[in-house]
Amino acid sequence: MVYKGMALSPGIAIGRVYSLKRAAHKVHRRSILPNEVKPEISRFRKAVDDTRKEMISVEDKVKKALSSKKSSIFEGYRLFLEDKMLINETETLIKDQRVNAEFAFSMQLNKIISEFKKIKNDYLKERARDVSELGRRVMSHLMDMDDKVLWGDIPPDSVLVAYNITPSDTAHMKSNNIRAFVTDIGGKTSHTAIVARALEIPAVTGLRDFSVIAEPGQDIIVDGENGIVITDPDEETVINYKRERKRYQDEQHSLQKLMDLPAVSTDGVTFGIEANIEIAEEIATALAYGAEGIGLYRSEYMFINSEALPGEDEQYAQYKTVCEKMLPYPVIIRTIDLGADKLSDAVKLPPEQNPMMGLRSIRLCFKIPEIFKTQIRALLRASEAGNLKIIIPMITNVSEIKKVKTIISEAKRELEKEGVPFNGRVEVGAMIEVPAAAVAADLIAEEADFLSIGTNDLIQYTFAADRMNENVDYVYEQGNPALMRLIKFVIDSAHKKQKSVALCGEMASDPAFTKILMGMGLDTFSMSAIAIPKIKKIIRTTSAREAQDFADKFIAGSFSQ
Amino acid sequence: MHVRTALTISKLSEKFESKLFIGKDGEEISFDSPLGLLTLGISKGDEISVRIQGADSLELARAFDKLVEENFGE
Repeated sequence: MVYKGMALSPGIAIGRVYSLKRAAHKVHRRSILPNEVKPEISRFRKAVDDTRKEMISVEDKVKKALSSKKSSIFEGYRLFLEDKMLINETETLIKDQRVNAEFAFSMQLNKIISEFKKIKNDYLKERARDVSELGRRVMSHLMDMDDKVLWGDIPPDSVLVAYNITPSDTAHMKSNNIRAFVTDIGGKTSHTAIVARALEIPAVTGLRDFSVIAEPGQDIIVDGENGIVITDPDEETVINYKRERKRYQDEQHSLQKLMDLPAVSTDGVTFGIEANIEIAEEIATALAYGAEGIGLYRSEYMFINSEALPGEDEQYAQYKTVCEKMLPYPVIIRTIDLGADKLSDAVKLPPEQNPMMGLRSIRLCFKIPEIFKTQIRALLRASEAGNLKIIIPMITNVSEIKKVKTIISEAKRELEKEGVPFNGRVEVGAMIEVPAAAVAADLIAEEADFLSIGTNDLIQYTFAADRMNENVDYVYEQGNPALMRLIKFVIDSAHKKQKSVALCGEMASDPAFTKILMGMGLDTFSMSAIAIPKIKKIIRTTSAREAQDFADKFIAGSFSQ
Repeated sequence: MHVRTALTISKLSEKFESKLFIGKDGEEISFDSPLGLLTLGISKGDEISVRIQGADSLELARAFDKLVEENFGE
């Protein structure tokens, strides 16, 4: 069977289906003896109690940070754990049907969830997810197993098939026998996709109900370049794909030969080439592909991957390692960019009507100043160890960048008082990803030491199109003169103030945009490491002067219909 | 109905001996299960029935009335 989905991460994999969902939810029915009823019920009560304790500990961590009204979301969880319909009925089932607690609980849970799904109201329908999330936690306590995927148990040559995969799941794949992954939902510029490309894991998404159809152990081919998935391929297809895989790998190797050569245009203009990373382990890959710095270190992955908030020392150690490994090159660390689609277990956020335009990024950091201050202190301390720069995400106006600088000054004074060394001249840049900031780039460039354009968000805010929504994908138009004008204005404004401009969105790694970005005078391209050779090759064969003519014409609309 | 509203009502009914039942489209749920309440799928503008039974039913009814007037503390 051939399925056509959306290409998420290039490369070809040939392997066998490993179904993530089924592995996580296997509940067996087991009959129990009358004298086992009591112990079974107390085992269930203990699991519920452990879950409650777990929720309370998570709640405590954020209670101080969020207002009391918002923390009532935790009360909701706790009340569900005392809910008669869920708890008492489960106990009744154990007693009356003489079945094990796992089976009774999952029966009752599914009953409630299906009730929720019948509701027409979207808000209430969504609550089914809260209930099932809570159920998952109770179940993991019951079964006394780690809630997380048991990565070590996955057989070699597996292709992970799931409804959806989180960026942190993706980070585990490289070292755990996983050749590729296939998901029902997801978008080309989602963070899962970004991590998959960085780790060179082929992936295809948008396959609707594939995770339900796919049989565990079934032979599968994933073509991450064309977005094709083939199950039970015939011999000829396998041979063709093996050949294709070889061709792809050879091509990658030939591009890698470019790694030590500088990114200089045919007429002698040098461009900066840097890598975007999420985890310290990616540094080796970044250097191997020829990155001359880290243009974007997404620090929030440290937070996403942990249940507890990493403390100042833990963060300091991580930042220090990255800086030391990259010496003499610069490392630009972006402060926590949480909220919206990137939720951490440690920083649980209340649901919002419109999260993409809500409390996220630097806005969230201002709301939870203790967490932000801790990170700033860790960054300042690590600035001693290498060429560290700080960048602030989602700046919307000048006063935000001023506010950040005030917080940084406070942290510096604290450290000074404590006698802790740091680099007093550490640079602070602003991410330009909100149209308001792009239009006021000249004002922001006065306060910030450098600018970096985050195109993923900038595009979706400019065109009012959700990048994850397949139905409006066509409006999310990267090659629109409106966007190019915005980018050109940002670059020109920064240059007038003698500040440099990088671009760290997906666009930097898209060969279709290299020429126009060169032509608009961009200083640095920052992208996932694997894209570096490809982009470098284009820069090395393009004339900067010609690129400028091309950009001028493009911006004037000469190529638009 | 918002989770918060379900909790507010649930907390209120805990303070009284009487039992509070809420119904929609012929289905009725006791208020000691906020989950059950949510599964009724009550949306703005829906007609619902409220039934209170027990020794201090009058007091609970008054308190519930007050809560409705205050728009459930929203």
